[in-house]
Amino acid sequence: MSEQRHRVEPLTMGRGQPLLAVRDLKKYYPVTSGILGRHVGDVKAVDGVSFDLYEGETLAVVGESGCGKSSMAETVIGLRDTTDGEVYFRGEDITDHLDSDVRRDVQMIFQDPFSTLNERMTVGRIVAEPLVIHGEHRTDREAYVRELLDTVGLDADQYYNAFPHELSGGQRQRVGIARALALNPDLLIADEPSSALDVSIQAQILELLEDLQDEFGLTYLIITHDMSVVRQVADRVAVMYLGKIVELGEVGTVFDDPQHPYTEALLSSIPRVTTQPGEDDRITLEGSPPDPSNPPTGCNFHPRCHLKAECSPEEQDRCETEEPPLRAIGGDRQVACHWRPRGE
Amino acid sequence: MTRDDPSAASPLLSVRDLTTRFYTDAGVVSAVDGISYDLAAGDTLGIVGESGSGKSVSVRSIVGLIEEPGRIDAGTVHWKGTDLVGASDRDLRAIRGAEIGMVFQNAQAAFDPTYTVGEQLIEAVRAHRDLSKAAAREEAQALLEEVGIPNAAQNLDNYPHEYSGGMAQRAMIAMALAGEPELLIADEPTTGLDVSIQAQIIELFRRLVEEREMALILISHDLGVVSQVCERFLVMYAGRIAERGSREQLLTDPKHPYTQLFLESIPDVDTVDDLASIPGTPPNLLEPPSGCRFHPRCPKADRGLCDVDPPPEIDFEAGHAASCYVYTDDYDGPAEDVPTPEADR
Repeated sequence: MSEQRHRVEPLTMGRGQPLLAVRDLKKYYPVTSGILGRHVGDVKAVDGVSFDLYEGETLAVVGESGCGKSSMAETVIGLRDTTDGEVYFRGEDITDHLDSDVRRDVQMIFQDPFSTLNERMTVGRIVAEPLVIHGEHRTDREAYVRELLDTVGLDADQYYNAFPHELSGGQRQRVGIARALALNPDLLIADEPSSALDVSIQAQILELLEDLQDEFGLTYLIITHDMSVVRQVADRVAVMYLGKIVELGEVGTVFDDPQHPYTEALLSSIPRVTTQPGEDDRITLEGSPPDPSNPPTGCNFHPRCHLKAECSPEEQDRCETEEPPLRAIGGDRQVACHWRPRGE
Repeated sequence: MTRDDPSAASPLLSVRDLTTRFYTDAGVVSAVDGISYDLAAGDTLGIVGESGSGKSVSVRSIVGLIEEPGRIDAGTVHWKGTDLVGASDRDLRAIRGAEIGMVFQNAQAAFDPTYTVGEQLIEAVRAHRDLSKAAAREEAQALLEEVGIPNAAQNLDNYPHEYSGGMAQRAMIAMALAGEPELLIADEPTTGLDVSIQAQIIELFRRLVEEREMALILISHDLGVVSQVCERFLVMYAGRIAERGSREQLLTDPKHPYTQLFLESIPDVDTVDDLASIPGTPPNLLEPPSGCRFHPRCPKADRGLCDVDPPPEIDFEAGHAASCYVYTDDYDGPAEDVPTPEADR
């Protein structure tokens, strides 16, 4: 097992060494058939994903259900074995073998704080648990945990001895965040951190995550389906469709001028709060995402693509047969479409 | 008290002082506390609120779907002149699914997994109309086509689990339409669906309301969804109506401090904005706050006024009203110790 550190070639020139580098990551789930469990195919949940994550930034991975965003995060953090590809943390290859040191540096927050908190443990014990697991014996453990609770906006006197069922959804998410912070990590991977919460509480949690980033210089990888959340908290965004990144770039430019037709349609589909409904020119995505065990040929998105109608038969043929690579289109921006950026 | 649009001559639905409580082992939950509103034929009403606001319980109370330990303790629900509170189960069943159709969040769970969608749809059609099996099948197919299900003839013979989430939601809407309802009640119909599918379902509601000229009550925590479909809004907080008005009135000139903060807390996908968060958490309805139920979280609360009696409903323009002391002569401004979003973070 080679553990030596080496320089990972960054995807973008001139940005220096990324904190986390993911290269051509693949996660396939075998599809078996019959009593013998014959291997008849694969669900390609993650199919060749590459990106860099820089210290102190927030990268959001956005996409609809089944696009592979959660599988990707779980594979990166080592909760699932990779099928292929590499994951580097501070230049060290951590693919499928997160050692104890890296495990401390990379922590995860989940969507549903209700299911991730042990109902029979007090809040104080839940937050202290990572310290116990990692054998960190500090004499001031209780004081440290109380300080963590205070950091995430929970009154330690009131909640240290409370049980999860006594807490609201927002308070439980705060406990989940306090626990993730206990080992003083560098990178937090958050899978739908605010999706189960009411909007007024969601705003509190997003604000807390931003405050913590400022205070501790944390780096975030946020997995979400919610484009509005991405706009508010992320620096860069990767849009996933059927196991692949189809567009990546700085949030403002991607949202204001989406290049990939899927990004464009996704942004257009969001129901805005409006006094004049139906007056906006919306791009409606027809149909449902295809079955990832039997993806379309060529460009994954071609059966639902609104650009295709504008293409000539020869161009359409290319969409159906040739997979467009994710390619740089200037700066940090990448897009996987034969016909974009516009006017090329 | 205003009764919404004063021009509505005889409303289809008229709810007065509806009060629903749940008698749990832990105590009495005051889920809906004296709400009143009217709905005219063809109206589209959105009920907006966060979890625990009573928006679902309020419509379940209308159609008699409150189960033990819940009870309607007070109020009336007049449907075309007949009070449904205290009506027999038989009468309620006859109205539900016929005159009033219902759609819920989890469409897959609304179907019996052991029968095909067609069998269930045909049964629903025949329950309300005296049709032969063949005619009912044709009608069922027409309903699936109306809600935009492709290959309706084949899909009739598929089982619910063979439907995707968006298709199942469409099929449940078809079920709700089988009795040719005058009112469709949809409770979080797009929650849990992907945004592309959600947009399709919103489009479908808009088309159905227009083509069928039926009234719609749409319940959602998502103001974006409601604003895309409904012309009138009720904002609920902790079992009471905080504010009512047209879409235009509520979105451009919200009066209740809760409505104002709620609007500001919604993240905008088109710009980065400073999100307001509402301090604190929604109240425990086992022991609801005294006075205005929002007062413990309200930046404008006047101690000694807002925490004593429930606020009166103050009328603004036609149909626009908010239950808030701020607009009364007794109001002296916020107390010193009111919560601020910053203090709570």
